[in-house]
Amino acid sequence: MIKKGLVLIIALLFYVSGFYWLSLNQPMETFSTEHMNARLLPSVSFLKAVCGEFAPLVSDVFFAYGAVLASNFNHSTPKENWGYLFQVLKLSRDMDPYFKDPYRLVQGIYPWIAKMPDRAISFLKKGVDFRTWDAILSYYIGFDYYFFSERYRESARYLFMSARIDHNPFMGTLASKIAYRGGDVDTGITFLTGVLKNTLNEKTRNTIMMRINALRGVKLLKKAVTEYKKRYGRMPGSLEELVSKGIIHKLPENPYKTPYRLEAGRIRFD
Amino acid sequence: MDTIFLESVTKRYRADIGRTEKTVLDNLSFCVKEGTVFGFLGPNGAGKSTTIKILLDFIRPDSGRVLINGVSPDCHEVRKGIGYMSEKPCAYVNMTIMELLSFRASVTGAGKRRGKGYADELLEKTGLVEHKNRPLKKFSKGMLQRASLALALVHDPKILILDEPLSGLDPLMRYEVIGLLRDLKEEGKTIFLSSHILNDIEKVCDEIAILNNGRILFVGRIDDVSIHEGLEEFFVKTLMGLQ
Amino acid sequence: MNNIILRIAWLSFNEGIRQRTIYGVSAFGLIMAAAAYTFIPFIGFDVCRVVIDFMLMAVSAGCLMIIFFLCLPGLIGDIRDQTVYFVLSCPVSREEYILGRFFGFTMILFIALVILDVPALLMVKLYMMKYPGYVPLHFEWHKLLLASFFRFYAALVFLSFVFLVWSIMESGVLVSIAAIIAYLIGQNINTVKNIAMASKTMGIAAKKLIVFASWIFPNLGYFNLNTYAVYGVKLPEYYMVKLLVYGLSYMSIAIVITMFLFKRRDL
Ligand SMILES: Nc1ncnc2c1ncn2[C@@H]1O[C@H](COP(=O)(O)OP(=O)(O)O)[C@@H](O)[C@H]1O
Ligand SMILES: [Mg+2]
Repeated sequence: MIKKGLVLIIALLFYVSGFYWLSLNQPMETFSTEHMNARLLPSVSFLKAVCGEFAPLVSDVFFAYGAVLASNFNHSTPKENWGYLFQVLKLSRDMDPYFKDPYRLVQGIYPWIAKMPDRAISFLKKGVDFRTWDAILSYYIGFDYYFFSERYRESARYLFMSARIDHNPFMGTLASKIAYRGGDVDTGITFLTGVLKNTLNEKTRNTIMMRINALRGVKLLKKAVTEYKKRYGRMPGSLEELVSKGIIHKLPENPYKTPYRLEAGRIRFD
Repeated sequence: MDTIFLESVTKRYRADIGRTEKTVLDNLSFCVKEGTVFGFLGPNGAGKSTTIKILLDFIRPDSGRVLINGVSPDCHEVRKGIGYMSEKPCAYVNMTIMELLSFRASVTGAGKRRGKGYADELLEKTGLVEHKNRPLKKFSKGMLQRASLALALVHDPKILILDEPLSGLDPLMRYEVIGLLRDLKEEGKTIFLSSHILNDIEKVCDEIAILNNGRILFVGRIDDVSIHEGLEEFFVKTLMGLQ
Repeated sequence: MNNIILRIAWLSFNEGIRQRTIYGVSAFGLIMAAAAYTFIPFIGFDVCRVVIDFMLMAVSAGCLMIIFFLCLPGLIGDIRDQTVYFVLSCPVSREEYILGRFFGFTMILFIALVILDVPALLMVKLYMMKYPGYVPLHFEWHKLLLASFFRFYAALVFLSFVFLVWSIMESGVLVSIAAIIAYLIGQNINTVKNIAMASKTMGIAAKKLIVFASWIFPNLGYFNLNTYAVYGVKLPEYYMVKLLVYGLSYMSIAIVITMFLFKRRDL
């Protein structure tokens, strides 16, 4: 009896210490960015052919993995890692194209942090075909086209789509304005102010705010240029002329570090 | 008309992985008259159980003719009149003996005829009354054997086909079962039983057949055999080809 | 349906229920609910969708457990332990035995469905109360119930295929392996077929083989109504009717062939 107890105690001791020792030697999972080779991920058709009814669950798992990765990424993350993350999220999307979260995550990081708006747009486009009731996806695409790529015609198309889905007359008029006048300043300010209202993320708000301020400067300068043209019957050679000719007191400050400039008759802020 | 009738029944098991083709029953013919107790004797592997399974249509012979009350066993209605007890007890082990009895009784249509009292009587006879509400998986081997016997009897069949009914029972129980078989014989039932415990067979059987390697070596009345020598001696001699 | 089949079904049902596999399945349902309760908030924002998918999966997996841990061993044991003799030594035809067994298992699967639906519905309800903002736009309870019913129905179709395999093969291990393979194929044959048909590199023979397999194996993927349950995505016209008819005819054919083969077999 005592012998058995002794053996048990020794075994327990070994178990506890061994287990502790094992966990000590286990390197902490840090999501080191070294081994992120997108080619190591399974292909969508393979997964689809294997997972059957559990596909949505696989989608969840890839999303969770992607979300953890994304939380470790930042502006200086190398391009390949962004590519890897993109593949992961794509797997999540393709295993269940109705799943909303991957779209949101991609929209949240790719245009803003990774500076890859085109990726976000291509990613979101698939969702539009599936989540036909969801106005937000086409809205995202419209926004990305407008804000990052300045492709107004495409932007208008998707914003229209979004307006049609949730019967939003405001968005509808805006889309038609964008379609008609492209990068028109007033349209831009209205649009972005609308966006700002629905944005909670502080960083994103700042970025949009910056753009709105820049557009306000452009609006001011445009007015001045028109005034200049009326007075002198020609375009000013540079923006500084507006100040020297006394049309405005001083050039507005551009939130995008570089000063405003005049290029081929258009006022640029970037 | 014979109650059980077999004519040149042959059964072969096909060759398979690790096994050559084997003729288990070779041109088997015999018949059992109504009201007799027929002992089907033979060493292990002789083909007794195979024959019995053929009688119940679990196995189909490759050739030959089998009739029970003049009807082929593949008509399942035939089994209304047959009580079968298998070699190793086989029943759903999570059920209680009472439930199994009432299943048998109702499926054979005996439920209405005989009422519930009969089941209790049967359990009394087989000594299982205290265990009637326990699942079969809690039974010992002997209890299972007795349960099997009770199940074979519940619908009051005209024919009893019992595969080794006495193996696995203690001497006392064996004595009682033999008594039961005698009673059944008195009631005029036809009993076909296989066994290799010869002493007990002697006490109940009218006729015996001796089987070896799928061939019948002897069929005849037991009185002809055991008068001048014991059954056991006769059995051994027959198997050794001395008779 | 005749009395004898019902009695065999009842026997089969009782025997199965008392094996307590159903307890295991209930425990599994609870564990899945607990897992859903603890982990899902960390997975994503779209929590209601995740919880619905997750719990539907639990229903499927539970039914599958019943088939693999109760029905299949039951069938194999009937031959191996010769319990089939108990039934067949009564005036019961082999067809009646097969049908009775099938209906008995059907009842057990149905009980499992009911048991698994309880934590599933509770969990979904809980999440919908906790996160009302994430309730899918077109969600309705009856859609969820229908989706879980069709998971059960798919399990039945698969069960009929298991019967068929069992009637062909003698070895229990082989039957189990074949059942697992058939399940995997059945789940995915539909997708594989679509991928194969779209492929330009695959040979005609291989494509034909896949099409052939899709006729033989039960197309379990068709019974997956997740998107309908979660998002209320419109199903093609009469889809459920077609599913019911497909399932019913598949089961009938499988069971009839099973009877035919079983009738011919030495036990
Ligand atoms: N399913 C089977 N496949 C192949 N051979 C079998 C099978 N069942 C029984 N046999 C063989 O048939 C012979 C007779 O068996 P059996 O009838 O059970 O003998 P017993 O007289 O002891 O009851 C044995 O040699 C056994 O090996
Ligand atoms: Mg035997």
